[in-house]
Amino acid sequence: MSLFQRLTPKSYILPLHKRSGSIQFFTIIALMTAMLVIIGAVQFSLLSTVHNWKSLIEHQASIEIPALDQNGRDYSDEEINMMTQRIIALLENIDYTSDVHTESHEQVAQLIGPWLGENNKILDNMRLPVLVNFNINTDDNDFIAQLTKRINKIAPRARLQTHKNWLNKFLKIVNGVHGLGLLIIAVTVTATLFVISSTVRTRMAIYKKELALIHIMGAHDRFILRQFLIYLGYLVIPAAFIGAIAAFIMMSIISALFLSADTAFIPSFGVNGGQFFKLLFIPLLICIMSISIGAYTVIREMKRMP
Amino acid sequence: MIKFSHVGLRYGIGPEVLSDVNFTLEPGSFHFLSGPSGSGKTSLMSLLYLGRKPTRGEISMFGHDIKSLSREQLAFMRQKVGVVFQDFRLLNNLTAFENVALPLRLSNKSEKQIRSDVTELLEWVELGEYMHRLPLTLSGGQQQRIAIARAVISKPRLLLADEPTGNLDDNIGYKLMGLFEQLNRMGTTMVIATHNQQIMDKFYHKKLILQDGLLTVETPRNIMHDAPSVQEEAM
Repeated sequence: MSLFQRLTPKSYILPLHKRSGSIQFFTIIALMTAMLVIIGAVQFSLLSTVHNWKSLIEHQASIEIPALDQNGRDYSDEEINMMTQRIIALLENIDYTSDVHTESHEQVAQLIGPWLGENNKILDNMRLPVLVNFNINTDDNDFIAQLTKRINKIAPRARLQTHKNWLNKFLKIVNGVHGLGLLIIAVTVTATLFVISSTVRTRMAIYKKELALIHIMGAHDRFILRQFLIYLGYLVIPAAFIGAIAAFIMMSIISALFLSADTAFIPSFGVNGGQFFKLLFIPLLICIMSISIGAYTVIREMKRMP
Repeated sequence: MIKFSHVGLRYGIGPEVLSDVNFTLEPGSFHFLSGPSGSGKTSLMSLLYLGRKPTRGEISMFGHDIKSLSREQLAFMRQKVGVVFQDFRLLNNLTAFENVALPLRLSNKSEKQIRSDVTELLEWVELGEYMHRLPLTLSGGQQQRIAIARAVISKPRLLLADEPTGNLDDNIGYKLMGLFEQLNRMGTTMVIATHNQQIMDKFYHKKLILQDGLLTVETPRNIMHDAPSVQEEAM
């Protein structure tokens, strides 16, 4: 007696799991689950990224005061210092701005460094701009235009950057990828449901004679339904959980192998504990959906019997 | 007990394979169902085991009009009918024991009762030592006895057998008929579909004769004086 026979109740009488197609069905469910778990992890990563960037950049603004004037002449240290102090004073007197501070010379050098490639020695001989950072609590374009004018009166080449445009473009791209992910999830779920429905219909066709026989013998619809629920449970439950485990292992390997690799080509699956817990629900949902659609298909097909 | 009134059956848009069939089967009666190939015997049997619904007319079984029954009630009704098919229709993945136990499982009998009833019946049909064998490892005769055991295990009120002696030599055929008569004496209503004239001549039972979808009833002379168990109606 096989392990399956030992585990299943005696009322499971049709060998639905035996004929060919079960391994393929098992594999498809496992792959679909793995795919959904990975897409889910990517979605969570994207959401975290958006949250982080928004909290870092939103309501943040900076003013860059270049070290050169309109004619390409270096400002003196006193001129630069005077312009900076006047701009700080201006910002501190406006209700919508707060937390005004200048970035240190080293921090500015760090920001510019990557743009100069590996030849960081240039920085030693270069006059760096001054960067004034502050919080801004309004999106009003008129206010920003007025502020820019007043700043340019103090420092004609100073540039006010609210990061709004850049953040909007970034959010547009990320939300696009997020939407695409949701679309892939919808397509995958639909495909999974079709696979389950057609598998059940195929099994019903293969075992048509046996089903007709037990129907004639007085089997209730729920008895026949139970045959298919046991069959689906036998295949779908392990397939979904194996698929999810495979996805977690794959993501862990990718994360571990490329943790130190400084490249943008390797995806990062930065999911936290709560998100990991939510991902664990994907195989459970796959099982519930599979068994529900399987039951619906069986009931619909059985209605054709007298 | 079982009454067919003006029953007709057609498949799809084809001609009627059964036309205006009328008869009544009394409890405990024994009938042969006879007729040439294509006369509608199998179709009539399928109506009797509720495998099909008639396209017209009314069928009353065990006091219920089958049209008024729900799917659930129809399933209960089918459990009261045992069927022995010509090709046995055993489930080849189940042992002889499990095949015979199937009707009891369908009616939710306890495992204890299933074990004792099935073992006793398999001993009675002399297959006790083969109860854990798969059907395909048994001979045709043994498979047939399993099919009969499966049909009678739940003590059906009506037993239908489709050409039960078709694949058997005469001696075994007579022995099988003896078994059916024994079941009939225990109160089971019997309908045996057969072509075998010798069997019908040897066992004196009423005949339902189908010819081109029309049913007539023939009563052997020696039981003419008995209370009629089959009544022709509107013929």
